[in-house]
Amino acid sequence: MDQNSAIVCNIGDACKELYSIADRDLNFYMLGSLGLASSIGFGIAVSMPEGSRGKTVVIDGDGGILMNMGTLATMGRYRPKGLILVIADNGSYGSTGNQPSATSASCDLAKASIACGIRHVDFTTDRTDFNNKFEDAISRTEPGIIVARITQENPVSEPVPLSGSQIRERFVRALKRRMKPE
Amino acid sequence: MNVNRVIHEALTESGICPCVSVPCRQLAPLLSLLERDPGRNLIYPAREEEGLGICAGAYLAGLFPVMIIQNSGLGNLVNAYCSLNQFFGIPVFFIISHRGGAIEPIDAQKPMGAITPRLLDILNIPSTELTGPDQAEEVYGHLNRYRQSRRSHALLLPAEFWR
Repeated sequence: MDQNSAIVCNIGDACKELYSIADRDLNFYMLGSLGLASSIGFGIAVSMPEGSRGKTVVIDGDGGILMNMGTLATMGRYRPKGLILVIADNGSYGSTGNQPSATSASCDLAKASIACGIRHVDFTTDRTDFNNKFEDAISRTEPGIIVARITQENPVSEPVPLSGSQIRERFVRALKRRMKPE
Repeated sequence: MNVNRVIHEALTESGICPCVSVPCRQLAPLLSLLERDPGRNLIYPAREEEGLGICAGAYLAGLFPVMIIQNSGLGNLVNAYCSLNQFFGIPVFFIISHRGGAIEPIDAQKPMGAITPRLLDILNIPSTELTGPDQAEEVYGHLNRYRQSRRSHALLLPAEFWR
């Protein structure tokens, strides 16, 4: 993960875990609005001036995508440059007690992404394979989606101790730096 | 001058971008102007809540976006407005086609039309109703205040506005 790439992270355990292992100014911890991580990432990606450094990476879950399936259609239609959507699919609503989601039964989010017109869609169940696919996605200009099937492990971590305005202010500052050409 | 051209010019002169819209019949002529103007970057999301997320991302990236929607869509974005826009301090400008008024032909529009101004009040979004075409010139001032103050605002445009 290069230092110029922004991360928009889904509400819940994903935010807590990201904060505890790799906090940085270019992380946007979406602490509410379940479903909108991919849309916020889309909005950032379409607004980046030509020549900006880094990509826009969204870490979402199956629950977030299922709540906002239209986001796949919008992404496939407009194909914003530099947007990488990672769907960590554990087939459940992990942050609320592992209630099963539709991807635990019949729904295939990789196939749905392809059907929505996204050209680079990957599926993986393996960590090394994920790393390779992610590096590929980072090296491309075209947007892509990686559906990573993961297990239902939710490491216990503390809530993100930042206020909404703290998260926004440092993220906006860091994004602005990224827009300056090298 | 045609009201839709006045709004389009106000959006252009204020540098508003992207324009994010879930359409309404009343908004069709304005949207058709925006479709031909790549500088305004018109985006059609599938749902208003999704559009609010897109606008939030655009604002974080330093732009001043606008949501162009029907008032029925206001109900679709209530949680997102509270837990995303209010929580993080991210403003957005709304141009809302206000259906369900006195000359509304579709009865199903009336319940949501009746609560729309109160819903905006509850959400702490200041709103201005433009009741006739002669008020179209006010749009530019409202957009300017949105940029200067970085505060949300909604324009309510009833059927009479386009008469």
